Amino acid sequence: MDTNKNMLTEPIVDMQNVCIRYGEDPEILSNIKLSLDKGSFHFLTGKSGAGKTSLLSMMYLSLMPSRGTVNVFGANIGYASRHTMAMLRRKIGVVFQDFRLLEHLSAYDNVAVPLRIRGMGENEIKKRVKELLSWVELDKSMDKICSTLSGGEKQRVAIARAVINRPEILLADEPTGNVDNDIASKLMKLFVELNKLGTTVVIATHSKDLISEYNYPQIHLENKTLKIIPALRRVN
Amino acid sequence: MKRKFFLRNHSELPLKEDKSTFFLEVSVGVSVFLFSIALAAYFLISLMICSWNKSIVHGLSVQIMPSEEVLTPEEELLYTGKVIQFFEGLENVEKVRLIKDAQIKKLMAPWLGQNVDISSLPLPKLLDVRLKSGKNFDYEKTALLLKETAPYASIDNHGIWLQKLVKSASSLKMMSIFILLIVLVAAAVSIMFAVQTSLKIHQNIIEILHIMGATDDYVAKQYGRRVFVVSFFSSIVGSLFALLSLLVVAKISSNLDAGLISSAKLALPHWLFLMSLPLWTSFFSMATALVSVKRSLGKMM
Repeated sequence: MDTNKNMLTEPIVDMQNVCIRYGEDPEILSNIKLSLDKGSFHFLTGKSGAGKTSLLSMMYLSLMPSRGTVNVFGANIGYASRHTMAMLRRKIGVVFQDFRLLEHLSAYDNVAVPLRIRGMGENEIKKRVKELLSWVELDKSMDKICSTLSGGEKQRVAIARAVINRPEILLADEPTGNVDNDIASKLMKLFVELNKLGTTVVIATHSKDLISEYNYPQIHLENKTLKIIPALRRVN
Repeated sequence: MKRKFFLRNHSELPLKEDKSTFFLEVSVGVSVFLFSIALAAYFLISLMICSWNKSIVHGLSVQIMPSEEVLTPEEELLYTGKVIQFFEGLENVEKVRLIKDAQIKKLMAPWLGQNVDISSLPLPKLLDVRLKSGKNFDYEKTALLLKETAPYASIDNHGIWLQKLVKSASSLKMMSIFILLIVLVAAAVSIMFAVQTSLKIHQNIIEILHIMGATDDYVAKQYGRRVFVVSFFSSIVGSLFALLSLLVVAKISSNLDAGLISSAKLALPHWLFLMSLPLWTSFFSMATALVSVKRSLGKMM
């Protein structure tokens, strides 16, 4: 029982004295300490080149720290096997700034990928993907090859792909950058709803409007270090 | 799981469009062609060695040279009967058979032509002696005793030259095994090269799949399936060419059969095994691809 209790209260992402550097270049992040609790919502802010994408990459287990320890879902990623890492990644949804869609596949197949990786049956996949694509207003474009979609459509496909698995953490890099205000507002509502259902959300953004409108705490990166800027008021 | 592996249609990797596919098709097709030929050679040599070994252990020939005295056909028959009786009286002899003139004529045909009356030629009479076991047969003692009984008869122990032949054939057999191994290694290297090229081309997609939680197995299986299919169809082509070549060679060699040494023919199981090569090749290619991909993925993100 105690163990279970500890697991429930354990931060979902925990970084201690983490440094990141690429090759022989100087460190871009130094002695980072960060704990994200389950069900939290943060904006990740900082100037371009401050290390937002690197920090996100570490959270979605694509980048290993040069120094320090990173625990994700309680597992130290420095010691995790490749199989464990794959299983951990299945709990994480990622929206990339450049979408990183599989351009040769249709919108439908792109969104279906995380479910196929999990080994889900095609009937269940069809039901879930159609429902979600319809929700992001892409039901008429679901059979289109991604390379033929507009920037806004690609972004919605990327978001649908990230959330189709009902991830425990959702990491999004500028997720509303390429869509109009209505769609942006709808997508943010989706993130908020997912958060209410228990998903931990981290959104990297430059948009001051978004930060002030939703007023969640910020993970702010500046001068290689990290500071948490608390939310001014509670969002209902 | 295996059923799922082969029936799964979805592949996130656009492997069908890979330029390395053509290289894979050609190299697998050529490898199967060469492997089939080398394997058929191995089978044939093995069969011949087996047959010659049997001859060495279980048989000997006896020649009865034409007598210096002029013998009547009846006297000649009596002389031959005496030699047959001599061998039939030996403990280790299973069967003695007089080679008929028609058979001798057939044996001599490549040198003398079909229309020669061999009764006018001073050809020896030949006996084919089958032994129960050649291991304990004392050739020298038997030859001495035979000389006393029938001075014009002599034992032709073809085991001596057959042994030399077996030795040479064994070297050929080893060489065919060596060729089989070389073809196998060359095929494996080609598959690995094609797969590595493809992995480099699709590195970005593989990285995305990994980020979404794909295991190395998941990615490797997509390669395994693709390589299996490509190998299967290209090896069928290679195998067909090889079988056609073998049939042509078999036809030519049957016309050249001089009857000096016993030749060998592939039996049904050999042909069946040769025909099943595309399947084995596909499994081999798939296993090579899986191992190669997994090893490379282990070095990726």
